[in-house]
Amino acid sequence: MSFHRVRTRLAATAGAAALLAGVLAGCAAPAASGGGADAGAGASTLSGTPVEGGSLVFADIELQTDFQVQKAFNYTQSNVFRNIADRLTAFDPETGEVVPWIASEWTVNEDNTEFAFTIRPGVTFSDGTPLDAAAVKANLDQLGLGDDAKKIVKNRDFIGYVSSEVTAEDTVVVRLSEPNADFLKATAAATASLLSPATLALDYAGQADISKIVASGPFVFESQVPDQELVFTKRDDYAWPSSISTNEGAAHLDEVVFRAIPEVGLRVGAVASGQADVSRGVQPSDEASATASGIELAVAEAPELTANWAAFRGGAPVVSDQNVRRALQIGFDREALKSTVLSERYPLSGSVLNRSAPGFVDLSDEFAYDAEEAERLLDEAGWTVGSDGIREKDGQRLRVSIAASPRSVVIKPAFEFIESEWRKIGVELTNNAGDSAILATALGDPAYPIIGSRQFYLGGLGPLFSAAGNTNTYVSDDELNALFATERAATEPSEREAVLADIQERLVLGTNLLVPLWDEVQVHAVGKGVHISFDGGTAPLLQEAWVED
Amino acid sequence: MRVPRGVGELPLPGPATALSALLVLVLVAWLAVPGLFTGYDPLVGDSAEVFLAPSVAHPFGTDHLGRDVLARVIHGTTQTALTAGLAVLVGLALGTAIGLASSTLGPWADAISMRVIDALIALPAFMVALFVVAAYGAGPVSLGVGVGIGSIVLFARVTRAEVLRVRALDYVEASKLAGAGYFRQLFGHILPGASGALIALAVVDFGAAVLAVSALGYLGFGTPPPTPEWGLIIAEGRNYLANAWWMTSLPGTFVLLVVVALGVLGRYLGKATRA
Amino acid sequence: MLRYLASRAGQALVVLWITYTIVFVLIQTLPSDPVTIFLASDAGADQELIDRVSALYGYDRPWFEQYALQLGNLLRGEFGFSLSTGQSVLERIGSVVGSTLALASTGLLLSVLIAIAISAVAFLVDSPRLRAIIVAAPSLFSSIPVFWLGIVVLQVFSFQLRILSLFPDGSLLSLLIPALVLAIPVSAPIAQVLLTGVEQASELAFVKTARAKGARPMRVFWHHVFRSSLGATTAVIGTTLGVLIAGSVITETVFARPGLGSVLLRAVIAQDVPLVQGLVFLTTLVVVVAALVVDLITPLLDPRVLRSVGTRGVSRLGA
Repeated sequence: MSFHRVRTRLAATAGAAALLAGVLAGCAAPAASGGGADAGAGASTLSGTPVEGGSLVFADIELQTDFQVQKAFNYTQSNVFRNIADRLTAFDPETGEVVPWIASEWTVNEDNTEFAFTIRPGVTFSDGTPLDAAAVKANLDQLGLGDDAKKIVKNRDFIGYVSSEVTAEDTVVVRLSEPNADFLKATAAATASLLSPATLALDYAGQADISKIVASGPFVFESQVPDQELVFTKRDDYAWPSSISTNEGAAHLDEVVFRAIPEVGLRVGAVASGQADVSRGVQPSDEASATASGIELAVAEAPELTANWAAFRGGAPVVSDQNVRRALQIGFDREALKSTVLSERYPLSGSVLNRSAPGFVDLSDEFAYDAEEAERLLDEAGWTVGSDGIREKDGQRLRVSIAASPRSVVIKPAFEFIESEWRKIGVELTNNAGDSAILATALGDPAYPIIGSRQFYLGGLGPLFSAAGNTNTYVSDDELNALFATERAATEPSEREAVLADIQERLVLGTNLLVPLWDEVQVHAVGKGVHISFDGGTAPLLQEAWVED
Repeated sequence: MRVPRGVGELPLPGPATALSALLVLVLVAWLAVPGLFTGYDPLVGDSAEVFLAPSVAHPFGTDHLGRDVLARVIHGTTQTALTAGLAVLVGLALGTAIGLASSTLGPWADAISMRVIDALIALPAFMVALFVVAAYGAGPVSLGVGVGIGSIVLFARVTRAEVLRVRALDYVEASKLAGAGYFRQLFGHILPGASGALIALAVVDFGAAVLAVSALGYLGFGTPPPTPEWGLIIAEGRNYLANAWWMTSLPGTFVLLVVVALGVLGRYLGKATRA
Repeated sequence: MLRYLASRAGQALVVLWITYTIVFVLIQTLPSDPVTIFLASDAGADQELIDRVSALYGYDRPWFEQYALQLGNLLRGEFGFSLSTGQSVLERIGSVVGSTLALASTGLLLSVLIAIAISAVAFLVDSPRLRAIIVAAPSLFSSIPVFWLGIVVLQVFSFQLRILSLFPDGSLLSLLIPALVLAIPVSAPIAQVLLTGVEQASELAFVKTARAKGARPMRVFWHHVFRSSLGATTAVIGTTLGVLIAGSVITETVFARPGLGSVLLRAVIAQDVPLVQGLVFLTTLVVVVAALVVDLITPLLDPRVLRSVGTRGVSRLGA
């Protein structure tokens, strides 16, 4: 039995130790980040014989109140959706291929504009209604067209979606107005989870309400305490997991409970004290104490997401100058970044894509640390060093700011470090990472200079960086758009891979719009006797998980 | 007849007051020449020295970037004083204005001012601060103004009470008889008489403002890094409580001492000017 | 009495109107647009849709129309729908208000008990040094950051002693411990008023006589000292509601409790205007009504209607 499909690296378990001893006594060992046991690639916590029954507490970093499926871009939403709803297809993180799930097979026409899905028979939603071709059409229509009356936006990945048609009892044909090879992968995303027609009939508030969502997944909504916990129970007759699931039937667990630990410093302690079975979002500085207290660190890789990057808004002041962008890209020491605020578990990024993603090309040599060259570029751009070491031009300081989500445990400290590096080459950085109010405003403001992020990209990089409404760079680059179009029209895998390489090169080196940072990983603390694995989007696969007695 | 004393002629302070004054003097020195008190750079750390426990070299230890925490506290005095000072100024200026309007411009102005004060009491200050900071982005100005709005009520009430007290004193009555103009009376007699209590309140309010800024920093709305600021140093350090207790506890204890000292000084000034 | 009630109720309405206006002005001066924030996500921003949704909420109308429209809605009790989740504002608030009320009322009760304990000990202790330390406690209490205390409490009680659940589990302890953390800063202004009462009462002739006659000290405290400061205490409790709310936001965040705190925080971040308006309006209503009640019962408790105003009781954000 092989468990290597799910790329979960697992840190070895060190002997038990008194947990968090001496918190206040001041005898806690100063733990440099990255210390402790190293990760052995390919390991999985799914070893042994599954135990039936029991309950698993998954402690996320927050609980969402909005579960409208098209907006499920956050981990907290996709972690839930992965376990309560099914999708047409699944993404195999091992091979990078799209594999059958609710669609048992599919065909694509010559120019990537028509997709015919054969729907697996016998699948039902938890309210008893069938998940048939008609239900699939209803889902695809809402995703592809949106619903203005309900203020439901289109799924950004369904580019060119025109209509779906039920052509046979078990067949749905999707028509696009333009070629889009990535459409198939888009059906494997959390934002394309299939819901019952009854749920789709609800208005926005209804669809956003987890207690009203009816789907066909291995777990069914049981109860909730708003903002505190979500409880889901096993669906006994579940028998249609994706083709890569290690469990073909109903879940081993009777019940899963989602809770939240917003305080980053409490996440390891929660597992160590047995109050949570798994907790997401362990910060690097707590990794050592976690392994020391005998809990496992499961590192979920994320080939379904891009790597972490900082994106320049091409039209914003200062960074509209490509020389400045290039200087910032090469103006900090990534190795030192890793050893100071990250850990061994965070591979440095070599591109827009994670190293584990299909089509990744390693460009890291092309943006290696070179402070001298960075300074030369800034000089060339007319920024001269002022009296306090910060560069100036026409009386204006070389000052930029970055906004990023508070949900990442490392991005704020990382930019504190990068700030001190950029300062050395005469650049001042205002670090707004972690301020969600500023992020919310910055997303809609093209003049805000830098956004730090990582995003689901099963629908391709096009929706993230092409012209229309791209909130990452707010730049429409003709060359890039041509590449995106070529990629969507490509029919041969090798052809697609070649174009994807060009896209990465254009984004990182041609336009210097992106600063690659580190590969996206989610570090989870996993309690003893808990067997769990994660999908390519770092969502826990609870249908396959079990807990020892 | 009781004549309010000026701040210049205070009674002899007790040991607690003396210590508090000493602490404030140290802060003023940090404000003026922070570089004299620490050799470490508050912004750029040493990657080889992250999470060092307190020692002689680093009395407050080092943080996640290898920066000396004490250096950050010392250099953070400036930003802290700016933010908290602005908060006090906003409260003092608007509060005094409302308090004066209420107590010197007749019954109508009094009725209106009192309703505004009631409204400000009813509007939870923290909600307002949160809203201002979230809407305008966390920065020294938004933090100062947001937090400052919360203290308008206190200053307004104290001003009103003080003015009524001062006006009842004989010498103000006398100046009224002498036909002094409104502003002459206001600036010549009433405000100087009320200033003792207002200064005392401002001192105490400064400490409260530091704590308020820290609370906002905890919720994710702090002065953006790298600028060191006490509130944010405490708030951010709490993420490392389990592996680096000193990062939040030592600056926290220090700020606690400062707040208590300001309270002691405030009470002393309050008593002294009323004695 | 009826006339007094009517005039006080009228004043309360004026206060509500002023707070509504203040919040409206704050929202109008926002540098960003709430609808853009809702619709511009990682997924992009569709200006056409943004304009349509703005029109739906009436945000494209002139400010005076919006002012009248929103005020009219509030007066009719129509709080509208959350901009970010589409949920009814009343439903959103109603789903968590119970949890906040439980925390805040327990916290208030505990803070009063702490304040009484401090003042009683200060009254009973003979050593002036010990008394000085006890008297200093309240200013110490209002200087401890609530979040720091909360995290330390969790580390100790939940991880080391393992008697407190990290996640609220409905047990008495999981209410009492966060409430205690909340009560500490809230108790400070109350304790300060009671201590002033103790100081003043100790000087009174009949208290001195009572003590000299050998009356049981605790009895003297309850009958003479505590009762005479009851009015001032009630009055100051009325003004601690703001600290209570601020403290609740932070306590709820630290202890991951559901409640108005997290709703407010998210509403503010998303600039969810209807939700913010609804929250502010309802909290203000509660505070105004509470103040009214305090005003009405204070004279019953203490005919002299002591009102303590001054530098004591500066403890604003419960930080």
